[in-house]
Amino acid sequence: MTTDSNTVRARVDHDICASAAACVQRAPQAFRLNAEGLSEFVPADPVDADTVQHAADACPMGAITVFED
Amino acid sequence: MIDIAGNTPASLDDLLSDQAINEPTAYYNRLRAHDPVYWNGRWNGWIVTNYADVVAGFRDHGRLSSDRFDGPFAKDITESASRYGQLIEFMNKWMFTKDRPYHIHLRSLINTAFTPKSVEVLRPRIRELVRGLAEPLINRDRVNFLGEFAFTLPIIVIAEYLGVPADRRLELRSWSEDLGAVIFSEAENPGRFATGEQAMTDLVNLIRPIVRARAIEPRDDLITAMVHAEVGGDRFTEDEIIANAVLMVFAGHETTMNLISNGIVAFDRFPEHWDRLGTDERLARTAVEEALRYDGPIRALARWATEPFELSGKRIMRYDRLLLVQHAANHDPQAFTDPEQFDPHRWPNRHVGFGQGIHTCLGAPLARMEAQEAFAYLSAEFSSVEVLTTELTYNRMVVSRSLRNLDVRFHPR
Repeated sequence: MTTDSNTVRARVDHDICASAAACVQRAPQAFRLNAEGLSEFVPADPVDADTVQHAADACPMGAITVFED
Repeated sequence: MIDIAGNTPASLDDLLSDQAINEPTAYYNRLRAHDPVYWNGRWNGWIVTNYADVVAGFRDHGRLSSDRFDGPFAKDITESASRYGQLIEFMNKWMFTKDRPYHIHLRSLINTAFTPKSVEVLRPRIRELVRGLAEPLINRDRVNFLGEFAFTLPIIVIAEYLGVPADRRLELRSWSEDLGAVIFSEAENPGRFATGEQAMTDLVNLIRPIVRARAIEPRDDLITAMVHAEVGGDRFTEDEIIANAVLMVFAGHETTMNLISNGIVAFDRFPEHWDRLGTDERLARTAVEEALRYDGPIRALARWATEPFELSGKRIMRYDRLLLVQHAANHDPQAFTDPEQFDPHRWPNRHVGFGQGIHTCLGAPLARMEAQEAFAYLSAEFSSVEVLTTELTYNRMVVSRSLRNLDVRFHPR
């Protein structure tokens, strides 16, 4: 399976998310901070896999896991 | 007002009292019980000691500024700018003293280079360094743990990671201390700008040629990664790379030294978990999180309000200073069960040892790894650790929780 558009998803571990928002900065189309200030993966449109991976890698807490659908 | 122990508000206001410095948990517990958002006339600002407001404060970068070149913390620095040009110019490019939008530029770029993934490749080397530093501790009656282990490991790791010569670590430490005095000490050290200027000049002179060399001949180090970092066409300037490499030398070793040594003190007080650290990788990880919570290297960080707002019923005015006390938040019984227990199994552990929000510690993954490897190896090698320093005393600082001395003995297995 390739990692084309729309084939990756991400999960943010809220036990370790520190609201650094590096993911939101890197991929605002895929991540946002919820009402509690914690990051969530909520892609408005299909997002390419590289963008999601870069956003996950930028997290200083390592809170984001990317996986294929 | 006088509390049961006979302490007047005057002693509550003394952030550098013997109790505040050497028994911070007891001191901040008193403060929190008195008023979790407390106006301290002596510090001239709000002291925030409850978990919810400390977290909210760190996350509220819109109203709580980190800028040290504007607002109520700027006076000393801006007045010194003409005389200490090198110091001020490079400090002005440090990401942790800047707000958005400049902070986004710096942090987005460094976030591509300094990541948990890029740090993970250092684990075998860190393991090797830990082994090498632990070997001379065997069968010794008394070990100067700060000098022989806790300082040496992180300074070598950050120097090698950046790509600056680790054999100059004693100079790196001395320069870092001089810069620390500029950032963290208040007005009692009038010569600190002059020594800080010299330290910054020496560090810039060391690092600038390395940055230029890496632009031509890349290596597998962080300075190379910073030289080549690019996000949407945006790049670092040479001076920004130098400034933030200086910052990482300075921020990358003292805090980790204190994390490891404060953790050793905690294991001496709560020895029952020591045995399994070396064989249980998950426990080594959660134990480091608990060390960060129980007695982390940073006590508190300051912010200032860019507009009026309300915090737990208190009216915060524009330009008010706030001290967000991480040590206090980490011992708030509203947020942690049995906060005075050092429980290496504690999970989840949403401590604020690394801060929260956009300034969350960049070096967190590196600090975590160094402490995990140190505790795991030492516990595999030694049956117990015994603190020999009879009365532990800490440096008189608002920001850092750093021991003056830590003599220990490691008992063989």
